Amino acid sequence: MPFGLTFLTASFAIAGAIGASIPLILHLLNRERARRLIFSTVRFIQMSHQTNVRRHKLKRLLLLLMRILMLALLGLAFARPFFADAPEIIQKTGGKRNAVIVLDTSYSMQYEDVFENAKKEVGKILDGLDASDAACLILSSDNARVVAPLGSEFAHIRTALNNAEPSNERTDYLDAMQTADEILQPIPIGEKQVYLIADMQKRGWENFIETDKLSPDIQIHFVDVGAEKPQNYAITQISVPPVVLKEQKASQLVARVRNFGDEPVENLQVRLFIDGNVIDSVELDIEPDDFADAVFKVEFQDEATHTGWVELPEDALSIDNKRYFTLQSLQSIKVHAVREEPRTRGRYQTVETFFMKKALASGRAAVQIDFTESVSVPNTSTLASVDVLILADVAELSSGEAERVKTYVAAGGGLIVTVGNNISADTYKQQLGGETGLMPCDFVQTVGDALDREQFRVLATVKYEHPIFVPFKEPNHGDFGKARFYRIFQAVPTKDASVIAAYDDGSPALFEKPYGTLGRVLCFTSTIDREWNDLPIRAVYLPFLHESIKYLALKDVDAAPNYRVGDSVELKVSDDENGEAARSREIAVFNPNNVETRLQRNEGTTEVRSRGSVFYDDTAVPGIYSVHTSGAVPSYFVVNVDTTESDLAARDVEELTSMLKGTVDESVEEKPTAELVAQYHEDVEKNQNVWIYLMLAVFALAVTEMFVANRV
Amino acid sequence: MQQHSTVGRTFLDPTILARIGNLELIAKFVVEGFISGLHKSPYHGFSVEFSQYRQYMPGDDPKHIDWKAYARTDRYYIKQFEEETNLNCYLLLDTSESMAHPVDDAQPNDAATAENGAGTPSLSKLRYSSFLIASLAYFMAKQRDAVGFAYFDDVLRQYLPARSSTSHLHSILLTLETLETTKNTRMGTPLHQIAERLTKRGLVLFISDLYDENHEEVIAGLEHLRYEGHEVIVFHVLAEQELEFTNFETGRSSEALIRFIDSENDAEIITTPQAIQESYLSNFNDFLDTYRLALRQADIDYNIITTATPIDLALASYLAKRQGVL
Repeated sequence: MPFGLTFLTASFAIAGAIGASIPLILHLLNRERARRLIFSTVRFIQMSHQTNVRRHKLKRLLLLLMRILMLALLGLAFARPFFADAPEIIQKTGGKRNAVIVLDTSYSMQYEDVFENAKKEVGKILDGLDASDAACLILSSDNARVVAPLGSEFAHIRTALNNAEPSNERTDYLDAMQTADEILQPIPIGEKQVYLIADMQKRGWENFIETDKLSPDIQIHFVDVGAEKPQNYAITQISVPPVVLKEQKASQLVARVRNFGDEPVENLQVRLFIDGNVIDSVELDIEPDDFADAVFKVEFQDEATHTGWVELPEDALSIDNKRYFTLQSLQSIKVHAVREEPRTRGRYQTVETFFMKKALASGRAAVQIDFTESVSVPNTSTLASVDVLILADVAELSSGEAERVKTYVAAGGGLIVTVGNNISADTYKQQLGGETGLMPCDFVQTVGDALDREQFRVLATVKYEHPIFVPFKEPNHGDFGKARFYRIFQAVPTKDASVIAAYDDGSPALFEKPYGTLGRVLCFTSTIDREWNDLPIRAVYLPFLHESIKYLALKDVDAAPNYRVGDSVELKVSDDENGEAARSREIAVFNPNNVETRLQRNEGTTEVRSRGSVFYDDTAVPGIYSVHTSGAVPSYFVVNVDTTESDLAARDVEELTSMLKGTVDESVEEKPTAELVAQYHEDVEKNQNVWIYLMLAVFALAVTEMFVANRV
Repeated sequence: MQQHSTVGRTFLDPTILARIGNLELIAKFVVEGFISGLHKSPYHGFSVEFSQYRQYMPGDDPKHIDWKAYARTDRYYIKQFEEETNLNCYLLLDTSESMAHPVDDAQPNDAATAENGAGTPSLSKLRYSSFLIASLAYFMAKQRDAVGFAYFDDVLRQYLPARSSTSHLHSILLTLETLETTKNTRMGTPLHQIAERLTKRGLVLFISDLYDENHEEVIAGLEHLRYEGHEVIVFHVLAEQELEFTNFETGRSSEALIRFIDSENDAEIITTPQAIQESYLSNFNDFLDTYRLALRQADIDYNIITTATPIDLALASYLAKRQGVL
């Protein structure tokens, strides 16, 4: 309020207001109370009365108004009014204005014609500036960009303004405010103004803290261009199974649609596109400020990487109506087991993998598992096609075999090691163990008697938060405590390994260790068949085995990449045996508009920030990006908009002003010159002189009132 | 005649007379005071002229028998006289309701006293007129003039033919004591009726406030009298308040409203007297001018007197006119 009227003694103003009502009350009380008088004839009175009464009424009204005004003004004069701010004093600090114009370019500005209006508002501000003033234009989304530095050449600013386009990024006003403050702070003279032309989204002020306040000498002006009651809906989340296996039960893809408006949305059509084709469509009704989930069933017959999106019909803000995803479909998981030759026990020949094979085969209806087995570790090429390798009580490994296993795991393979009577603790320690080994544990000794069925251990501790055990977490979802373990191999975890299940005596039952970039190894300290325990005949055996296989096989697609606009994307290029050659290979990234970017995977280039990775930064457009490496199948990643921006709720401008407006720090304020002080006092005095004029007005009114009242 | 003493004038103040109450006494007081105030009485030599004797006929009043003649002639003779007066005076009074204004202070029991707007003691136009008529009648009787009296509102209420006897004077005074006002004023018809009745020419004194809606009728009535050969004097009696439109008890505020109620037709009007005074006076003067002009044209003497005018002034006006008649 630049010219706020304030009172020195406000009580008089109240007294004046009460006083002003007195004539009115008197007027109302005296109204129509006429004395009766019998007169000989009213003939002559009647003749005179008609014209006179109207004049008389008018006169009385005029007198009443004058009397009310007189008392009100008198009260006002005694209250000593003065104008709170003296505009002159500001002008005295130098006529020049320095205006930093911040234009919001976040994607919420794409709402209807909000952005065009905002540009017009900027134009108006520029029109209002003089040649001596200076201006600067900042485009603000999740970061601030100074597109025209502070200066008097407004033509530059206008050009930059004309070229300004709304981005696909979210809002963060604080960065822009900080930048504006930094630009204005060092300026020694003139007014300092910040203009924020934006839709004032609440989201943009979320991270405000006290230190984000503007300097006290900076004035902030808000130009709210946001729509009055914005209506918007968006897909805020998609939960996609990273890998869709050929299962009998189709996988579910769930898209969460949120209605940010204050009106309900009915029959909203949500469509699922996969590989460019409409697959399914669902209709949703969503209450205001609520969400609903669209559930789609997806099924694939092939084994490939798929891209797709979920789409909503057009609304006022359409950028958030599409959300992209990638998913992988697999035909089957390939499991290869290495075992010893069948052993003879009495009349029967037993194979270590007997129960395992049965278990994996019987799960076909749920997960397609292709099981193969051999007595030695297969060659590299065979191993490359295997998802999970099981070493089932393998007594010894040759160094070649051990190397192949290591390479296989390092390249992302999954390995399960189980023990038994054949296993040689030392061999494992030598071939696969040690500091750099892949073994999660070092075997110590066997304990318990496999034939003594009276003495046994049970599984007492299970890490249910581990992906393998998550399905067993709920009550009645499988009881590991029922299985009896007569004999186990005591072992100690190696570096980086963790124990995910243990027996009741505390001995570890299951170890896990990551190896290489994606490889994982599990080690079970008992047999996988019934030789040392009765786990295979327990209900949990089959699901446990399945979950373990799935865990190892699908690990590399667990973290399906989902980037947001503006994110830097790390593209991994796996090192294989001829890695040196691969380093010089070119990577081409096609953005959703099919614009190609070539990334050189050479050491020293800016894109390369860590070994084996290339960074791609140009993710301004939401959509599906494809990555092509020579001699390899193209891979995909998706970039989506940050839907926190879709909530168009705005913050009150007055609230923002008080929030951002800094308090004057007396200690750092410059000492005003004597001339300025004198000028200030003069201004203050001038502002308090109002009462004199008020008294003069009262006097003039009193004289007029007297004149009118006496004129019959 | 304007030279009568100030002492006498003081006692002739109508408000003081009003306290006397007895009309005859008032009349006597006024007339004798008035006469004594004159330097010289210009009127004397009125006497009963003997006409003839006539033989007594049964049925004659024995008191008229001339006993001296009987003694001389031993026959009964009746002594006859010439009619003793030389002027017939007719006093006409308007007794419409408006004449009761302003309400008489001298009548303390009158419920309407409180509504009287006048701040000073006053008497109603009717009472003032009664004094005037009583005084005139007394004065005329003193001069042996025959006095007739009639009062009327919209009809002729009473008519006493002109006589010069003392008993006639008493009956006039008695009639005056019992006067009552009525609501209507339509003086045209009664005036015509009276004009028809007055066979002998004389002096007609008409006392009224002339608040007749139809003033042309009034003027026509008066012209009728004039046409019959009478000398006509109009005493236009008004209250000071009516004439000046002031002296309303309005309290501290000059802006106070007054609800004026018409004494005759009960019409009401609320206004501020001060605000309309100028306009009222203009209208009222127009009204007076209308009569003044019309009556002058008809050669009728027109006098405006207020209830505050000393009664001897009215008498003087009569005397001046009488002189012209004789």
